[in-house]
Amino acid sequence: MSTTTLRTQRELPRTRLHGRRRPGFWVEIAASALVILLPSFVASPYLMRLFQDVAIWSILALSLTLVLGFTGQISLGQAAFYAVGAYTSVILQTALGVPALLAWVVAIVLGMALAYLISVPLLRIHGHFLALGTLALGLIVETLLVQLAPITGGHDGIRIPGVEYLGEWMQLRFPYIVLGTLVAAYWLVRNLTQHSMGRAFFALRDDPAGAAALGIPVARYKTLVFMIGGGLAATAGVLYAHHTQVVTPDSFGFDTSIEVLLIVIIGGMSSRLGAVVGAVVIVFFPEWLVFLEKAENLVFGLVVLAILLFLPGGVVGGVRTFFSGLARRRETHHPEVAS
Amino acid sequence: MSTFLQLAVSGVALGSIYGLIALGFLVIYHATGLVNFAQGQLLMVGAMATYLLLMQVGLGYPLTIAGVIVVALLLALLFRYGLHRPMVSRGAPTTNMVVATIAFGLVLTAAAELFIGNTKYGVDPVFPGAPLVVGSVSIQTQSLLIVVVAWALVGAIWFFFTKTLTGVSLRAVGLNRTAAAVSGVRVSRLITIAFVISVTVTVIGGMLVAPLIGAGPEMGLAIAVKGFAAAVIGGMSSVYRGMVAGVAIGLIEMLSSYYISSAYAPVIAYAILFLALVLMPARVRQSGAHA
Repeated sequence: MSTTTLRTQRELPRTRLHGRRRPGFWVEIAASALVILLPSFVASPYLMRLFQDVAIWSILALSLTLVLGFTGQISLGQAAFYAVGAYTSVILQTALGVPALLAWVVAIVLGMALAYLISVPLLRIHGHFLALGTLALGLIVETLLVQLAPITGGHDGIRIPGVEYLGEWMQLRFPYIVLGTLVAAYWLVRNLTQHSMGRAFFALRDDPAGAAALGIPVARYKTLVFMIGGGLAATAGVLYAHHTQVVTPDSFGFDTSIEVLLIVIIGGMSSRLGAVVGAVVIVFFPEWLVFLEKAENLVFGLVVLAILLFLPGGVVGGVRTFFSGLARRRETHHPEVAS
Repeated sequence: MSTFLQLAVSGVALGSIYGLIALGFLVIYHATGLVNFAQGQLLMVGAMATYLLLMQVGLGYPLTIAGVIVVALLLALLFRYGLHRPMVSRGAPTTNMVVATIAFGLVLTAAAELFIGNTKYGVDPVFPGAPLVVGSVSIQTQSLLIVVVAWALVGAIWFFFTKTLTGVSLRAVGLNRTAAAVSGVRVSRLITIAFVISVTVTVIGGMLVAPLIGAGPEMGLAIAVKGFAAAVIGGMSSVYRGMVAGVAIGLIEMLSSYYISSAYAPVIAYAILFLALVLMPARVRQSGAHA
């Protein structure tokens, strides 16, 4: 299937200038600084809340971008790691009195540990079946959150009042922590994918057998990607718990896994910026388009179908194709467009 | 003992529905290599359409059945020509196809929530009246109907795939699309037929199950997951093995929710799916790779 190969190649992040500092590098630095400093010049608490929503969804979406977009492993259970992060952190702090920072570290490590454990059986399955397997995992965790009521609080969840557990100083600066973590997660994914290991991930996605033949340790790298993805999702969960100050099973179910998937598709599956763009779309659009109200899910579903059909690279991919199309105008006609 | 039998009867009825889902799932999977994640939502459409036509419009069952089958045909054509074929012709990778079926299911659920409402609606059974009593076990006529229709459908599909030229050609498409095309099989049309069969079977499943568990926009996922499990345990191959596996899952679900814990019964069902996937033989897993 030559068309398939060409298409995947076109969706790859551009790697031509690897090793040299692209002008894009300084844009990324500037944008990162801007994002971290956002809380100091956004006065409206409402707007700041939305920005934190965006940041948390972005981190979660980055975890899926890494697993799905870059490495081609379909995960429909990303909310499971998100839940482990949030619940571990909250339970450690509220029930056991563990200090916040330590609880966060333990929560993230536990998220990665679950990813490691689960990757062992999941390595046996690929493609569609992997999607089914991760779906089952997400559903199991979702049900356990409700049923293990003595530990998780069941449907009511657990409250974690901010000032009480974080202290006033940290509670006031929590927006900086959220946005700072987003920037850190972004750079983690960025540097990982520009590293030789990231190239190996792309190879895993595009041609697993070929990658294995080239000496890429397929199983080890898949496990690693799951673990980093699980860790990122758990991090998002930790932040979410303090952001909303309550955790309930509703926020960590199948719908959440699907919402992350929508974010990744809307933004662009193989683009780290796509995760952020998709999160902006999914957080801000319902706020602006209030008239959509109940039709929100329907509209998003249709938008995603349209993107899959007409803009498989998502918003970021579309913009990128547009600009590279402009640049190539005068060059020879591209064969892949003709095919 | 009578409790056990009572549970077993319900388990077999529910399990036959899982088997039907597995059946619909396998027909598309074998023709195209696509795992359709919207299968549960298609069942939901069947149940909701039954509710609308029967309870709201008041058509009565014969007309409702005809109407629901028309809905199934339209849905199958929409799915095939509006989504599947355009995506295949654009050379979409597996990931995108999977996401597309999920998004399609999402749209169906969202549309049902928006236009009909997000509650569970009751639907009248086909044969009203008292349940049959056999010994100490009372059997709802609807349960009996589900089992009979489900197995009749499996028989019909088996007949179609083994004894008719169209069915055999369809299997050829699934085995080797290029070779089938070279031999003069009209591949695209046969795939459309596969979609029609799959969607119709699933929608009929929804119509059958609606009087038993009600119709609601969110009903699809839980049933679909068990249907997927049935297909995987059945070896992703023959339709009747998927059906038998479906019945087994229905039985396990009913018995475990009574004898073990109703709270953890869903976890058991999901764990079965997970284990079935992980433990399935390499031969079966490889067959997914050709897509």
